[in-house]
Amino acid sequence: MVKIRSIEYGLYPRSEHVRLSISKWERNALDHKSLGKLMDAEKKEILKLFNKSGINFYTDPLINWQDILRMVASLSLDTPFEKISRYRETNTFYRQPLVESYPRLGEIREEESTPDSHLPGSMYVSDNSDHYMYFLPGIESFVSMSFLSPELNRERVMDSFLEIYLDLIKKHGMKRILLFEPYPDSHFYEGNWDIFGSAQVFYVRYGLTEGSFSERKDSGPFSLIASNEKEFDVAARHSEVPGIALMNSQNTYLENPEKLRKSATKMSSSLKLDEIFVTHTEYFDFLPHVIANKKVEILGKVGD
Amino acid sequence: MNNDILVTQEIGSFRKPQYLSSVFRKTSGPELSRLKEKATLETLELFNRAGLDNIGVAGEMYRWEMYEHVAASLEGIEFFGPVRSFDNRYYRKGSVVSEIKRKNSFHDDELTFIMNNAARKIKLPITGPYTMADWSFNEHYKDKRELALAFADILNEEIRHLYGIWSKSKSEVFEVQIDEPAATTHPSEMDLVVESVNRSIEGIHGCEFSIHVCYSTDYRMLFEKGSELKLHGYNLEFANRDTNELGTGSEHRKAFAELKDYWDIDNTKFIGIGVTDVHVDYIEPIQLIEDRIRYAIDAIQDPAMIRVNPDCGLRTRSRDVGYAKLKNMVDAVKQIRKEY
Repeated sequence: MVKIRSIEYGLYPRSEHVRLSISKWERNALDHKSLGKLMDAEKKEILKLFNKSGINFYTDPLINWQDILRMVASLSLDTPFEKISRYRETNTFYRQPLVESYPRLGEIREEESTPDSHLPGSMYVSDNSDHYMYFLPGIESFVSMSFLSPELNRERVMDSFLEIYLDLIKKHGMKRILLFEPYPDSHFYEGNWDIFGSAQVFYVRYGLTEGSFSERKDSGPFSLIASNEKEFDVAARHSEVPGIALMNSQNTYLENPEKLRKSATKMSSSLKLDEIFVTHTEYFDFLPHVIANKKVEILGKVGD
Repeated sequence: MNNDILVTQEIGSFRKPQYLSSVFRKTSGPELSRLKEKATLETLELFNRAGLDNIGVAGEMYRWEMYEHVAASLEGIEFFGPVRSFDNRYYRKGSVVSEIKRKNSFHDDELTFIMNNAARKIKLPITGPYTMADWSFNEHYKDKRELALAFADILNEEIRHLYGIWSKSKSEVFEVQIDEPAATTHPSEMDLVVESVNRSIEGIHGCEFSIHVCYSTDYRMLFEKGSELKLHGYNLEFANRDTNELGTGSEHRKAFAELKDYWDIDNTKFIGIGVTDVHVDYIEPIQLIEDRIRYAIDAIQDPAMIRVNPDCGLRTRSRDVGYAKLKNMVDAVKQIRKEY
């Protein structure tokens, strides 16, 4: 019997209440502190929903990050943002970080929040459960998605982010980390995996091919999550427990949890695996809030 | 001064006055119509004051949003809530749950009103079939092609209907802008963009058709398909990706370098160039806009082929900022026209 466990990660769609509250804040009809409190409270509610659904591992819903880079960019860059850019082949956009000097870990001050930077509220709200994973954008993606001043050395910029991540991992005591790499670029982590220490790492990397990433050795549990079935065998070869994105997060169609379980079981069995992680094809922010909630319920039924 | 070159035009949407936006979804019937008309007249006056040659449909005061306006006029589409575009900006993305059919015309009231009230050139923006398909959740059709072609048939029906209204009282060419912001999102689907756009205008004569595309990672793929697109022109975004430094050299006008591709590959269509960024409040100075246009003239060599516009609809900016951007755009064109 294959053991199936489910994963939810990344930007989660905001509720109508949060969306309208942000609009109020943008019009100065709500202060930073009130919005920050509301954001943290809402995050806790979403984490409860994840937990109640039975999902095995989940990240912070990141509803105050604006996009996958925004909070880390605000934390580490002096004049963080360039213009908006299209996110992959979608109708969603992000603000391109502007890297004009080597990044260093700073502080986020709630009173300095602006709609163009980050929103008020904590970077992470953890429910302190064994299900919680800290979300970090992959460094390769961060740099690929940014505008780097020509005088900067790309490798050194990436190394600077590595230092920042190391500090963040220590500061938050991260035991489980979801590293999200939508724009993979190189073998950057070669020799650098040790920054994650003994933390369990779930690595969602698009475009997985044999040799497209550097193998993680001599450290904590590691799972590669393939974004489609064709790439699953690569994930399986390089993970203690591999993962596969089976739930469509870019369509409102509601999947049958039993069918997802069957697909996961079939894929694991064909490779003689005892365990598998199942997740969604992108983060859920591409869906209406109400549909994402339903997909969470379904995903919760997929895992054991 | 040659006023036939560098025609200044709007792309589509403009910020609605608060009295309209605050009730748009809450009111209906004659009261909503009255407010739409009021807002259209005020925006028309603003565009006239800015000096635009082509006023579009005066800022799309009849439409809440380009996708939803069309989708809500069709059978077969359900809405489950808004979906984020960026920051805290959302649009209602519909789910296609059964065969789509046109319930009613989606632009005839707007067109009729603008025809009766505008003295300047009109251009009707209409959301294209590929974008409608790309921005919908498809729960019904076999694949995206089938869905895009179904949207194309609906748009064809609508454009025929609108052209019928136009030709009853106007002798000028009916200008229609097919809005396809999603056109270059998926490079592997360019054939479908061409097929669906062509099908949406198939058999309709006597119109000038253009296509609006924005925030593309590479316009070259569009130009390379240009000869297959049965259109008369492009209206494109450039300013968002350009520097704000003054100068007409290629080092200053990096974003506009793709104009050379356009001229090399598909120079039979006119090209509307986005010279003001709709995503920032920064009011581009007249000199900067002039520099952008001068670079374009240098690249294209025929100013009659160039039209001048904002990158996209200005609905993301306040009306004051939108006006200031349009005014500087028109003033920059006036400066250059003196030389022709």
